[in-house]
Amino acid sequence: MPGTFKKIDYRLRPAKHAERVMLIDLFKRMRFAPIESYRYIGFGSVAFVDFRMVHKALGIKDLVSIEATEAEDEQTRFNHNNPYAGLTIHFGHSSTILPTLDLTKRSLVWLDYDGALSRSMANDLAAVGRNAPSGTFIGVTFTASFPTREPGRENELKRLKEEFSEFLADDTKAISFDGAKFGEFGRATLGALLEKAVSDADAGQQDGGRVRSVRQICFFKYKDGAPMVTVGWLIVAGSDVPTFEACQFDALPFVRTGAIPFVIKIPLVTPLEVREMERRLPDLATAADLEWIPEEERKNFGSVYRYLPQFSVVEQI
Amino acid sequence: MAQLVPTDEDDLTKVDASPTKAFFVEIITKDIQLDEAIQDLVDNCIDGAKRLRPGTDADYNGLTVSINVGPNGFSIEDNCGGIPLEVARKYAFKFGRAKGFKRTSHSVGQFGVGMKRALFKMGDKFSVVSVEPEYSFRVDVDVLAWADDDVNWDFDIADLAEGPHPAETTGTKISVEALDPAVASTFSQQAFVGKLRHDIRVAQQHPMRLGLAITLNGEAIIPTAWQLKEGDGISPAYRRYEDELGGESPLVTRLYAGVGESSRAHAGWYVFCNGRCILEADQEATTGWSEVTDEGVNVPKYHGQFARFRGYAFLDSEDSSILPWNTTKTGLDLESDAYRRLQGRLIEITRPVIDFLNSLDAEKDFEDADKVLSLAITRASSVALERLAPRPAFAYTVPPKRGPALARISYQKPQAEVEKLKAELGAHSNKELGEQSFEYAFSNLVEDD
Repeated sequence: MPGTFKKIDYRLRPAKHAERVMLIDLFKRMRFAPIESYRYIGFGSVAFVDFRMVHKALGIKDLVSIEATEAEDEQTRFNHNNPYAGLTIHFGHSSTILPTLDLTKRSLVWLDYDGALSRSMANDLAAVGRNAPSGTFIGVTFTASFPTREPGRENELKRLKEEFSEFLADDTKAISFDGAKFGEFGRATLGALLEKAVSDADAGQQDGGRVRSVRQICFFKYKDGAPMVTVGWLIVAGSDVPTFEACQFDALPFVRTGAIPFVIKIPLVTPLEVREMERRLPDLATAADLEWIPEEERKNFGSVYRYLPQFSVVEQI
Repeated sequence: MAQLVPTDEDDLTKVDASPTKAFFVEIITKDIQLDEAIQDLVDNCIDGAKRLRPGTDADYNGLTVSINVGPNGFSIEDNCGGIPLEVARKYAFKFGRAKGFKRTSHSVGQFGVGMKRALFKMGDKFSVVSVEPEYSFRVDVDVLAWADDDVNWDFDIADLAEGPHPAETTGTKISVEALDPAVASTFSQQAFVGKLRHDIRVAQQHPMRLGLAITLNGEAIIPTAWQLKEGDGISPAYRRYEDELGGESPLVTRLYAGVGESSRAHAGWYVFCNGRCILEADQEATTGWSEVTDEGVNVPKYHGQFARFRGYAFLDSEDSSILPWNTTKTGLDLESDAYRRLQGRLIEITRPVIDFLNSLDAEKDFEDADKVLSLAITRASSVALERLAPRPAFAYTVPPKRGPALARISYQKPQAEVEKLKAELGAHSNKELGEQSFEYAFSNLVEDD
């Protein structure tokens, strides 16, 4: 979605930061091929934060960013902000650009939209999934807030019924999307459509070792402003199932393979509180002498402390 | 029956001027090109189609001609009625058109030498198998053995059986083995096969337009009638896939998508299986239409703005059991592996065209000078599919928008109020009024950050 980079200062998105670091942690566990040999495909926006992280933490050099802006001055600005010679920026809508990319290379693909769940996202996922080799990660991020007032509710309901007609009965009510239900609908629906795309693309494949399956690996929810949902899957061929198991993703605390999300909550604590809590790690939960820090903040800190951003006024370029 | 009268060795007044068969074969094959020889055989198939379904605008749907050309042999097979026994016995193999031969109406075969000439040209052994309504039979010829005997000019009919054979089982299959080495070498060249494909496409435009499917080496020849707009920044998509679906031979899929003339009746996907049109101008979920929605916009299954959409899918396999058609070959089999692979590909290749058509539709309200896509589409030329280069996605390049990104505002207000405000602001047109009132509001309400 063009334009949002102008509205949100990326530095003020701590949950997003934590999410990125968690994904990097996840990518580091992948054993299908040397991670340096992967391609990273994302929507870098103007700051290319995820691209810098992927390059520095994983050593990935083949970087592709898709940017929807059509305006010449914006394109010029994006090109000037391109941090690496190995990063190619494609200007155009993802539905137009994705089919032009060679998706048969093993990749980490993060379709980090900042719009509401839509069929177009499912089609992008399908385009990647159809062609993706085993060992490819596909992630999608979308906003998960259903309007709370009319006429927004009715319009949004109508749109969803049209776009996801095979998943929604005619008499589906708007209340079915309130609260956590919208995010869950997105996770289940996009997952099902990705799975269909992959399975259809392999229809008739005689060699069972080459038949691919889709494994959900993460389901994040967070709020830096608007509530966001990220779902990530791995494409795994039959012959790669042992490799998938060897990755031992379940050892990561944020890995989620089902309908229960990992909610990223940034603890609201002081630097001193951080130090006190860190001294009790890893037994923070049983530390009785920290009751003066609100329990919820302690809990949140315990679940994300490894992934929190370090804030300071000096920024490295 | 067809024996030449031999010269009486003892008759001192006769000179032997009869031709040897070898000489004859050499003469009739000398001035014919290989591709012309094959064209002669295709012409015979077309004549069969014309006998089977007379009339200049007959429907040839369901009739097929399948040609295979390679270093190990040649074959051409059709389901166009077969060669009648009577015709085979008296005319088809005769050198020169016999008296009393009734030409096929609008025939394209010439002079009664076409078939033999073509076969002699290619190799030393050929066979012709015909299933016609009353009889079925085959003629096998070993040219070298036949040429050894300069007295008897007959070919032998074998496996003669009486019918009746229903029309849909009739047809002719001609195959040549023991290719002449020079011919085998030519047949192995991609360039030759490519030229042959082109020549047949051009020569057989009319019967193909009537529905006759011609395949060459397992891929249907695409009629020149199928075209997409190209040029002025617009480039249609062309993708080719090969799938192993457990059949005897792979499934080859060629997809083309882009834009054509605006016509609601002709817009949509055309799906061909082994050259036969299974779906025509399809705008249903079968070809992915209901899935092609645009972000944030309520798009029903099919919108008027998509009247320029054209997509062509050609699915070919020598093993027709893996093609995604139903048992009557009149529609798609939605459960088949081939269809499951196809549907996603159709959606993928359609989406960029839809994006383009949505942008084109959005231009309706623009000033003429800003209608860059409309202009591009009128300037682009219609190009036959065969001439399109592979391209993974439909693309259009418009010059990037200069200056800041612009948004368009349009609204209606009561005429009387419009006139009053126009007078108040000194605006000369509605457009000017809109701009001035926006600027007025902006300068009064918006503060710089």
